Amino acid sequence: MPAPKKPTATITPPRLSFDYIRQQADRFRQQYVKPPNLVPVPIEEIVELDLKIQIIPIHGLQDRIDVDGFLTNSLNAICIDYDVYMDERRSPRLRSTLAHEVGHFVLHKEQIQQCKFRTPEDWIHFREDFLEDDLDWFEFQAYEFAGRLLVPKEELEKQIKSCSDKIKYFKKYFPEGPDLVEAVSRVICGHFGVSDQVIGKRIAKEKIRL
Amino acid sequence: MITFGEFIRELRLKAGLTLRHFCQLTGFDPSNWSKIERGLLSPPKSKTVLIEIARALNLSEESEDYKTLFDLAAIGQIPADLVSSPRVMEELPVFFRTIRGEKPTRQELEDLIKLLGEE
Repeated sequence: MPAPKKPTATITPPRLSFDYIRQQADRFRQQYVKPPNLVPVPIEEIVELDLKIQIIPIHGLQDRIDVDGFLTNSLNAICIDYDVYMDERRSPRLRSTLAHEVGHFVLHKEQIQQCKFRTPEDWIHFREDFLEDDLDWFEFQAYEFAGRLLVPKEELEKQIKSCSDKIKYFKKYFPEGPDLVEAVSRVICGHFGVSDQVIGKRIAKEKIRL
Repeated sequence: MITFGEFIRELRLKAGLTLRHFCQLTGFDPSNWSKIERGLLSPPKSKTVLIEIARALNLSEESEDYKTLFDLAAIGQIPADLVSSPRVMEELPVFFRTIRGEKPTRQELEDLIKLLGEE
């Protein structure tokens, strides 16, 4: 008969409002981004030099585990897939991953500190027992933080305004909706150092009309 | 006593160099250099390489840090217990989701433990 599984610690996601997360991202930018409206946000430098979080490039993280990166439970390192870290073309992805993990660091430090694993089996049980719905809360919040940090609303509006001629042009070809958002996102994503999908989500989240 | 890896990381951060920038200056592979800083690989022994590192960190030959760099590199062994599971236990994530958006399988969880052990 298999030994009964030992109960593992569970953590409850906080129900943080979007306003609270936006305030936290703005506060973070005020503290670490100089000047605070600078884009692209120098997230790699902030992680290593200001937060003193090590970046550990790991070979095969994506190929073998299907993961780009993660914050360690000791809170002092972010492990990143080696290829994502090294490939300049994947820099938007790297930046989003780092900002996302910083989101966990800022918003979920207390919950992470509750998790101490004594054995690999402890950790596996913890992960297997982790409710997907709970994980969704943590992940949504970190995504929201990362989006607001890398793509501040004011700068996003400014960029959209600055390409109003292109938007008029696009509107001749694309109906209002996803195609138009995608075309505009492609034009301005380089300014923020993120992917066009991130910009698309930020436009929707901030309810910006094109 | 401070290890070579801890010492050099402290100097690197003091010099305002990210891992990427430091490796661009010295030609080290970031993954290997990260292992040296974490004490998982021995420090470089070559005098030429150590001088190159000191240069990247802007250390003058007369400084105390310059001497300490060479001293620590000379004694830098990898303690066996650093390569064991306590380190891996600290590096495991609390939150992560696969790129395909699904819960990681047990096999993937076991593979991650192995991968961190190998790294």
